[in-house]
Amino acid sequence: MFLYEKKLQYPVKIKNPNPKYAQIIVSQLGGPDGEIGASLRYLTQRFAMPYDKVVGILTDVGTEELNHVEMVSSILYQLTRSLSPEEIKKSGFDTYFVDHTTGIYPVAASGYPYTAAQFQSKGDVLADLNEDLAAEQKARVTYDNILRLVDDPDVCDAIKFLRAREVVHYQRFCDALGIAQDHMDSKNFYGYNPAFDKVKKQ
Amino acid sequence: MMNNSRERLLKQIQAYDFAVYDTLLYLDAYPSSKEAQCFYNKYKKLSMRAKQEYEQKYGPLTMPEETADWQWTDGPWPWQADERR
Repeated sequence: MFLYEKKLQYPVKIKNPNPKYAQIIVSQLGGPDGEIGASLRYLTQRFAMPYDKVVGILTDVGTEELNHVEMVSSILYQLTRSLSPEEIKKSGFDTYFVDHTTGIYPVAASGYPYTAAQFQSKGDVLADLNEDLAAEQKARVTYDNILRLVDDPDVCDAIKFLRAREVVHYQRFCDALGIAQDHMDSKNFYGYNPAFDKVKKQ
Repeated sequence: MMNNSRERLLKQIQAYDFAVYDTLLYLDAYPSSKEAQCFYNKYKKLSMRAKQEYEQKYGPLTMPEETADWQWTDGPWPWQADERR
């Protein structure tokens, strides 16, 4: 089960609201490579994972992603404090504002709402872990792109932390893939799916 | 065959923690309820003691306190009901 800790994983302290930045960064909440999709991806995939160590990695990374959902939401909250209708209109934040005011709602930067169609839980060890590796790289690129568009040091500080975690998660999933492959038949990794075909006892 | 005493202790912890969590929700709305406070304190203590015993015998329930003999990823995971016993 899950328990809540009343702290962020890394501090978010943004002095200057900026609704334009919020409209970009919201993609890491509800966008195609966002943190909600990341946490759901790993926390759902682990049920089909036959190797305990890899289940541990999926559990712990998936749990960390929930922290990142909270951090991105905190960034959005702080970027949209005390806005005037003028600022909202001028920044282009009005298209979000009309539906959600300044509530936190998971959408992509394009406005498309969060959808689980953005991730897979394939029930296949190699397919799932390779999806995870790609997902971390795609999220890393999104943070790189955010850093190209944002020049507020308070915002960049938190974004850089999140970006670095994508790289670390990628490395841990490389380890996970190695662990999984050590359990599999190196002459034919595709001979059977250990998440479904219960051929071998581990 | 899975360790029956492990199952029993885990079930006890689940019962204590459910009492704690349910009372947590109640206290969120009624923080000065003496009755709820007593109930919460009683079951929180029982839960803590039972968890201590469980972790000594069977390994960590949450992020380990120390690294000797890393058992954190050892199965069975909670959803593996029968097949791994």
